[in-house]
Amino acid sequence: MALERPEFSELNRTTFARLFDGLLPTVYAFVASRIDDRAAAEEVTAATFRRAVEVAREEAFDAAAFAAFAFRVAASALVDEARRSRGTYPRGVRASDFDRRSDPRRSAQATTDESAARSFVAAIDRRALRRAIERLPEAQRRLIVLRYLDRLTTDEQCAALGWSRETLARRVHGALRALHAALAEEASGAA
Amino acid sequence: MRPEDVLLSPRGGGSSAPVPIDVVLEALDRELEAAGVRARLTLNGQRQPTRFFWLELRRELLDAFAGEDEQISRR
Repeated sequence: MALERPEFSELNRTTFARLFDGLLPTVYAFVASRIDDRAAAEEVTAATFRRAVEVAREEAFDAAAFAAFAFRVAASALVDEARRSRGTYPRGVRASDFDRRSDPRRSAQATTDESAARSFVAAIDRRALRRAIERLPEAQRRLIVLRYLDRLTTDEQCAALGWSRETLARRVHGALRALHAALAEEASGAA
Repeated sequence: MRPEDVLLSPRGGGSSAPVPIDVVLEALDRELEAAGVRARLTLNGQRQPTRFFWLELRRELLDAFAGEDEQISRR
């Protein structure tokens, strides 16, 4: 959708409604794959859109970039939800506003992705491939899940992971090559 | 194909070209794609928003949007 970067306040309701309708199912699916509780998934999804709209109002709005931006917000909201659910943060407050300890985002991120990764791995036919994915480093497994389970576009994957397109391309190949090598090794061991 | 793929969507509008995959990795890429399809089918109910949630959030955001427009027009 090519809009010439109008201010968000000038965007008409119909355009925004169409943008929302196109994006909500995918953002919700992304969140619900990582949170088993429907009420929590709805809360995180709603918070994602409220936050995305709030930020989009403050900056020049680009409808084409809004989808990628929404996934960045959703990924962050999931981490906040994981940390909040294990701590004492009140709902509606971002955990990152409070936490001043060494950054625990990585472990919270792993928690949110475990559920999605389990679902994806369970759907793989070959046992060797399942084992190879489970042995991947966390960042590579996360990328594989975003790409094949969530089917995010390249820009959305970049936004969710905070990587450039070049970094993403390099790491996609790195992950696939690691899986390929693990499968070849297992096959040669079995022969 | 996911149900949302058929909706008019800002996603996949052409600016986000897929990462090209080496020929030697294409079979693995297809195998993982197929697993993704099966996983999405398995999770289908869990991954679908309810109609009530969809409409409520839509109304809330559009109301907020309209409120902002009013504030701006009053300035």
